[in-house]
Amino acid sequence: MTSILQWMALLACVTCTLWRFPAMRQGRNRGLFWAFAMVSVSVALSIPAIYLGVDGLLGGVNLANVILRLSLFAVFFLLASKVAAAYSSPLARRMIRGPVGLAVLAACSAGIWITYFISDLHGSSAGLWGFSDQPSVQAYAWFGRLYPAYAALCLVQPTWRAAFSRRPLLDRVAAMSMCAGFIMAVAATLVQMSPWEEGGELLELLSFGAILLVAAGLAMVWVSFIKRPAVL
Amino acid sequence: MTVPAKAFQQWLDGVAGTTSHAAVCRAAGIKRSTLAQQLVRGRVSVATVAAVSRSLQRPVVDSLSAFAKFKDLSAGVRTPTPAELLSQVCDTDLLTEILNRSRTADTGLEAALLELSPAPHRTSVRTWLDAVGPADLRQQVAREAGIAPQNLSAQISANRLSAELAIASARIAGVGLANGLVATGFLTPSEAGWQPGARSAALHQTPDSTLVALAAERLEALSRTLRRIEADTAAAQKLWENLG
Repeated sequence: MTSILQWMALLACVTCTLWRFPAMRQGRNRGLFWAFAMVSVSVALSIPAIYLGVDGLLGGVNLANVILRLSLFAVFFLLASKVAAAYSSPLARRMIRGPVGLAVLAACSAGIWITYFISDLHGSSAGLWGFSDQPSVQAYAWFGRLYPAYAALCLVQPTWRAAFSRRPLLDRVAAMSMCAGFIMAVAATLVQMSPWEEGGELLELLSFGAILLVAAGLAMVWVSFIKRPAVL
Repeated sequence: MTVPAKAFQQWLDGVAGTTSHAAVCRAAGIKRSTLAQQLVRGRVSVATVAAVSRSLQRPVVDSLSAFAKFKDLSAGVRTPTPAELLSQVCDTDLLTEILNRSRTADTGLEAALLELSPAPHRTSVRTWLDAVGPADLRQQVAREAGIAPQNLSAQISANRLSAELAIASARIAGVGLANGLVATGFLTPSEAGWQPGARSAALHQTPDSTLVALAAERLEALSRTLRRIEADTAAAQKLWENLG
């Protein structure tokens, strides 16, 4: 079940990236293309089959996991500032791109590197499941979750508001889908931070479900963009 | 919005005799499959009744009155009040009349009688409801019809009102029952028993002060609508700019 969801999420992300490619070539919303390219990388790296291969090339010290985490941070930063601007929420945009948002991002990135270096991570292990008994690895995972959850939390309110606004139905469904995705992303972090041992399956379900919902929401926005009235 | 299929069949047998459904549909300009579907579902839309009735040169109001739901419709036809007539004059014609009058006052030359654009205009439902009703007409209509006030508001904003609601509104407001159907564009003014040129005459007889106050009201409503449309467009634009 989980692995089907993972491959589906990867497929969705790669499709979105390819779909964005012509727009990127024309110079429209390049940030979105890169966000999707990086989200594809992140999703690919969280699939064990791909992770083990890539990490083997990087020396088998789980550097691939750091790449995954940092590219996820970049994705959330880019996407969150776009979504905040798209739904006209100056507050959310300030919380992402303002001093507070940048400080959270910097702290989480620093936390990732520090905990990575003080952990003993020899031998590739997807999701670092093989090292989860080390406290520093737990802190590492915690940092890796913190920023995405923070960014997602900032976006719940603007997308929720848009979902129940007077916008056209397609735009509202898109906003609703994104809102659900962001709520799931926050929920995933809460599950991970909880002491609940059996959370693994649920965690992955929430994470990849979140990615799928946000990607679906963005795809719907593009459909509404393609169908926009010619005069605009 | 619909009448029972059984009642429709009976009515059709009465007015069209043995004419086949295909011929009836062809004459009325409705798709055969549409009628077939409505008959299968057991509910025939009032628009179908009106189209068939027009193709047979029968008064639409009388045809509708053959159905239990609308049985008092033809008895309830009454001449529209001046306010109702004015409500069915579009904003541009109102303003043109004001301009013509002021030009006449300035130059002393009598302007040619204004040729009104055909009813209904773009906000005809709202202006009609405002013209006939007490202040709480909408609430009364919603309560009477058992629908949520938001649903009624949504219909009015879209310049739509189902036949049942239009008739119910007219009944509550105590005006001719068919008049609301003119505002929704379901009936032409003459089909509802309005005299030809009645709107034009009412406009002509309206004193300047009333006309200007009415135009001010219309412009106020128009500005509210435009503001809302502009805000919606800006929101959509913003979304596409950032995520499109």
